[in-house]
Amino acid sequence: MDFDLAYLMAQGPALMRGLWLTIQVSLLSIVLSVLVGLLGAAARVMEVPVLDPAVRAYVEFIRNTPMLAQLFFIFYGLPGIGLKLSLFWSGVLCLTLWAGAYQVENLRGGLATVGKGLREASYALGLTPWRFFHLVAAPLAIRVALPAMLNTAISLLKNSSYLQAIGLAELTYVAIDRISMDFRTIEMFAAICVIYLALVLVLSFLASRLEFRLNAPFRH
Amino acid sequence: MTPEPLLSLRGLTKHFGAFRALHGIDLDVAAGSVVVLIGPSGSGKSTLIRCINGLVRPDAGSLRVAGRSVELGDEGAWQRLRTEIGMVFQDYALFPHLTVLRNMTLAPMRRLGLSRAEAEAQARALLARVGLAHKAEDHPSALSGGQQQRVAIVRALAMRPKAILFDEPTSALDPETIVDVLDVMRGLARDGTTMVVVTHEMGFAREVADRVVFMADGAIVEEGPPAALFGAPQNARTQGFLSSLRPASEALHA
Amino acid sequence: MTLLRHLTRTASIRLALAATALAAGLSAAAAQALPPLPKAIQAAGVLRAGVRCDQPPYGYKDESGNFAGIETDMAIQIAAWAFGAPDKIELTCVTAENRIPQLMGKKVDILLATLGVTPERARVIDFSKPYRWGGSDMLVAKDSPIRKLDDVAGKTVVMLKGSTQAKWFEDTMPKVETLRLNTASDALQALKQGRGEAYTHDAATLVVIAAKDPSLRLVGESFAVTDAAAGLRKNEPEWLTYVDAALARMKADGLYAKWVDKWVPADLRPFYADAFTKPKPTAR
Repeated sequence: MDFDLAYLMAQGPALMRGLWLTIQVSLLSIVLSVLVGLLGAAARVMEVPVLDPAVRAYVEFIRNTPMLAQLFFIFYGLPGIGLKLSLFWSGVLCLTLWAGAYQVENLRGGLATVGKGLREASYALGLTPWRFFHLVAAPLAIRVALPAMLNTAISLLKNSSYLQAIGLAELTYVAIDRISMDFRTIEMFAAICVIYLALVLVLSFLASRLEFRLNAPFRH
Repeated sequence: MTPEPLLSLRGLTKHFGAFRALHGIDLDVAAGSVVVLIGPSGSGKSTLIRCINGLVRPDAGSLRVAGRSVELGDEGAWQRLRTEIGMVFQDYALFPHLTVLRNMTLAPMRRLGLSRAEAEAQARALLARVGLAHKAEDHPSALSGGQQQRVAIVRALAMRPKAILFDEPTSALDPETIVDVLDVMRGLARDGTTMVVVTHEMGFAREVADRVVFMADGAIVEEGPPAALFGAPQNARTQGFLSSLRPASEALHA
Repeated sequence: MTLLRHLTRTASIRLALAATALAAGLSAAAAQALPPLPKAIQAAGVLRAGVRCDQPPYGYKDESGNFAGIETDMAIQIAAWAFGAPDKIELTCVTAENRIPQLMGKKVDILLATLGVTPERARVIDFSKPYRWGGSDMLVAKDSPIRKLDDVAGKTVVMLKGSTQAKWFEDTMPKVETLRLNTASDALQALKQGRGEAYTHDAATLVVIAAKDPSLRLVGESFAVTDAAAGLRKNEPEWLTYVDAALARMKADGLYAKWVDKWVPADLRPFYADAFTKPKPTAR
C-alpha cells in the first residue's frame, strides 16, 4: 500500500481533535501529578506518621503494577464502589496517580538536597513548616529534580495513548479508530508518531526554559 | 528593684537519646543586655540557644519570655515565640533562590502582616545600615560570606525581634570579613539590642558582653562580667579553657 | 512454466468436477474434492487462523481458556482437510479493531472472525463467499426508554472500534455520540455502568448476552445486515479458491447445523441456524 498523503490531509480535523484532547488530558495530569509528587515527597521527607508509610505503599503499588491494569481498575472497577468518573476524569486520575508516584520519588531526591540549615532559618523567622515547604524547599527541590521530572512528564504524555483503551478519543484512539475503518496503518501511525515527537520536543523546550529560570539565582 | 528579665530559663534539660546535652540550665537575660556563651565544642552552647526558640525542644524545665511562660509541648506557642526572637546562623542560611530583598521581606509580609511596600522600605533601610543597599536585588550567591552574614543579621532584624540569638556568626567567615560582621553586632549592642551570642571571638566578648557564661558538658560552669570572668576565672575548667585560647586570642585582639 | 502449472491445476479441478459428475447423486463424495492447497500454506505445515475470543457462539474462550465456537470449529475443520489433522492449527485471538491489520501483516492467513463484508474492507482484503449473514441490534437496560433505532438520537451508544456498527453509525446516524472500545466485554461493562445508553453489536452476539442477563434487553430492530465471510489477503487466488471450496463443503456436509447444535443453547438455535441457512433479510 502506498503512502497516501491526501488521505492523511483528509483526516487532519479528526487528528487535531484527538491531539487537543491529548494535550488537555496530559497537561492537566502533569500539573496534578507534580502536586501529588510534592505532597507525597513532603510526607516522606518529614516522616509524617501514617502518611509516610501510606505514600510509600502507593509509590510501590503504582511502580510495580501495569498502568493498563490501573486504568481498567479506575474505569471499570471504581464504579463498583460508587465512584463513577467520566472518561476524561478517569484518564486524568489514572495518569495523575501513575506519574505522581514517580514525581514523589523525583522530588524526594530533590528535597534531600535542601539542607537542615534552611529549615532552621525558616522556622527561626517564625515561618510554619508548610510555608517553609512551599516557599523554600519546594522551589529548591524542583530545580534539582527538574530533569527527572521532565522524563516522567514525557512518559506521561506518551502513556496518555493508553487511554484509547477506555474509549477516550485522544490522538491514538483517533488513529486506531480510523485504521480499523480505513486500514491506512502506515499513514496513521506515522502521523501520530510525528505528532507525539513534536509534543515531546515542545515539552522539553518548555522545561529547559523553566530550568534556565530556576537556575538564574545560582549563576555567578 | 530589678525588672523581670526578658529571657528567663530554669532547670532546662535536653537529651539526645542517652546523651545528656543540657542539664539544669538556669539563665536570665535582661532586656538590652548582651550575653556571650563560651566553652569547648560539644559543651551544649548551640543546643542551649536553640532551646530558647524551640528549634531544639527542651525535655524539661521552664522558659519565660517577656513575662510569659512558654508551654514546651505547644508548637504554635513556639512559632509565635520565634517571630519575637531572631536568630543568625554560622552558615548564614539565606534562601539561595530569592533575592536579598525577598529574603528580608518574606517573613515580615507573612508573619507581621506588612504590605510589600512597607516590608521593602524597611528592608532597604536596614540594608543601608549595614552598607549593602546596592545588593538588594542580587541573589545570595553573588555576595561574599561577610556580606551574606550581614544580610542574615538584618533579615532577623526585619522581624523587629525582642532579642537575637547568634550561633557562631563568624566561624565560617574569612578573617578579613569577620570585622565587618562584628562591627554590625557592636552597633546593635550600642543600640540596646538584647543578644545571646555563641562565639569564639573572645575579644568581642570582652568588649561587648555584659555577661559571659562559660559552659562545659551541658551545664553552666561559671558566669560573670567579662572583666571578672576573663580576668579572674574562679573555676579550674574555666581557667583551663581560657588559657588554651589565650595565645591566639592575644595575638588577634590584645 | 507458470502457465503450464496453471493449466495442470485447472485440469485437475476439471477432472475433479468430472469425477463429481460421474458419481451422480453422491453429494458427500462431491464435497470431498477440494482444490490443491497453495504451496505457501502447505509449506507452513499449519493453518494460522484469526478467530474472535469474545464473541460466543462464533469465537470465544470457554471457562478453561480453550478456543471455542462455530467459527473456531470452521478453522479447525479447514486445517483437518488441508493437513489431514485437526491439530495442525495455530489460532490467534483477533479483535474487531486489529483483525485486518493482523491479516495484512501476515500474522494469520485467514480470518474467521465475525467479519462482515463491506466495500471499505474489500478495498484492502479479499472475502470468501459469504457463509452466513449477520444483522446488528442494540442492547439496552431493561427499563430503558429506547424502543427503536431512532430513539438513540442524542444519546451515547457503546460499540467496538472498527466494527460494522461503528461504520454504519458514522455513515447513517453521524449525530449519535459514540463510545468506541476494544472488546465486547469492555463494551458490556460500559453499558452496565451507564457510560452509554445502548450497546450496539452483531445481533448474534447480543442475543447470547440478553438471554443470560435479565437486566438487559434487545431493542429488536435489525439494521446494518451484512454477509459474513472469511477474510484473506489480496492476490492469493489459489487460497481463496481453496477456502471457498472448503466452506461449500461444510455447508454440503451439514456441518454448520451440527456446530450450531454443539455451541448454541436449544432456545437460541433457530436464530443462528437461520443465519447460516436462510437468505439475508433486508433492513436499513
